[in-house]
Amino acid sequence: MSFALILTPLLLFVAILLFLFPALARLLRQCHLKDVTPEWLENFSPASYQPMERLLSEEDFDFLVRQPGFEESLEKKLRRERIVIFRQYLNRLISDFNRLHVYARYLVTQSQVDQSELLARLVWLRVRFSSTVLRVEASLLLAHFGFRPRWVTQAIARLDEMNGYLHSLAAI
Amino acid sequence: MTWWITATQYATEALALVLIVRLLLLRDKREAVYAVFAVFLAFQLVTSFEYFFFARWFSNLDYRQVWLASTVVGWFFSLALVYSLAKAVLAGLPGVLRFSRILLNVWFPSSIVLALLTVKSEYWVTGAALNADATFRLLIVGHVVDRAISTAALLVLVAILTFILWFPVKMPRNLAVLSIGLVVYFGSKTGLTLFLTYSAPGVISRSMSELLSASVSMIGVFCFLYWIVFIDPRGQTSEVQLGHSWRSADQLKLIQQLESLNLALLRNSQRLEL
Repeated sequence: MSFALILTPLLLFVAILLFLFPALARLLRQCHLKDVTPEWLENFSPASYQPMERLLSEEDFDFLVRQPGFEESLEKKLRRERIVIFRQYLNRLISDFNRLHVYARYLVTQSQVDQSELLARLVWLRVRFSSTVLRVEASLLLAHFGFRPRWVTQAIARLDEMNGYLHSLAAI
Repeated sequence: MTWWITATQYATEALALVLIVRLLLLRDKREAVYAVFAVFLAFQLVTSFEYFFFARWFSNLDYRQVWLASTVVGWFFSLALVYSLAKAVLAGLPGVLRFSRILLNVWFPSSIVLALLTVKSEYWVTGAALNADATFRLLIVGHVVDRAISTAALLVLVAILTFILWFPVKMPRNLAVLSIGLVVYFGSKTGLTLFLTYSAPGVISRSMSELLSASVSMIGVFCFLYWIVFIDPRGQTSEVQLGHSWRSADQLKLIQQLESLNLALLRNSQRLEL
């Protein structure tokens, strides 16, 4: 009895860790300053991630259901493909956040004025972004069963916030 | 086995002396860490001679008590060394100095508390509590706390180095060399002590204690050699980057890239404002 009591939460914890491992690895991946190119920075806009919010929305699937000759396999195929695209967007979003963050950290350290307060905000933003991404990942699992992924808007908002911090740093 | 223990001890003492001279030759008054390191080494050197000194002049004194007293002083030197090294490393980030000082001043005592929390369980594993000799029990407490102080030093160093690695900045080569050597030194001291305690619970023998001391000295020899070879006056100005690898050939390219990045960021801001 006591063995099962210990083993069950332990196995559950390991399973959650294994499930979140790819996302955690992407979040913690060391980004190099040389990955931030002027071309990328000039063209970067968080708005490019807005399609993510619509990718797995119910409207498209409802529309498909209403079409003559609709087959359930078609919906499944479309959902699978959309999930793959969504994941690619999410990976790019994480990678962009990491690039902006490493550049912001560099600017902070190079500043002649103490930027400790801004660094504290950057650290806190990183924590909030990571937690949002992990929640998106968890909700993406449910998307396979027809649920709409949540917290996407928040993830894009965090990226936008990061971009805002970078611009405020550049203005100093 | 005795000859190689003696040889290791002599080698440690000789290398410590060479290293002290090397540190004094650096003549860098900016970094207090090198002075603290030299004092730390000098103290190690003095303690290695204390046995002969007390055996010759104060033979009526119980040497175990002398060892205990000098070990307690040694803990303060170890912690002072780690604190001054962490302070010197963090001084390389002027833009976040207040943040890093708070981090250090919170993490430093926390590491000591965390490490000391492990003392009780390790002491019970040694089985010394059952021994009738009070001095022996105190001696084992000293050994266990010594291990805890090494663990605390290791925790502080690892945390500060992780924090530094997080930033794409460079640091003086000497500080990097000193940090890596100390991580190896305190890490192996912690690992070896824990291994010896937990691999043979309840058995504390003189030979085990000698083996531990000799193994730590052996690691000390390698660390001292590493420091002697790599800590030099040029290392004060030449910089290295841990983690974020930039080849020296890419330096100019990177500076140009940073300038272009600033321009790109400004153009992006203007575009968003429009």
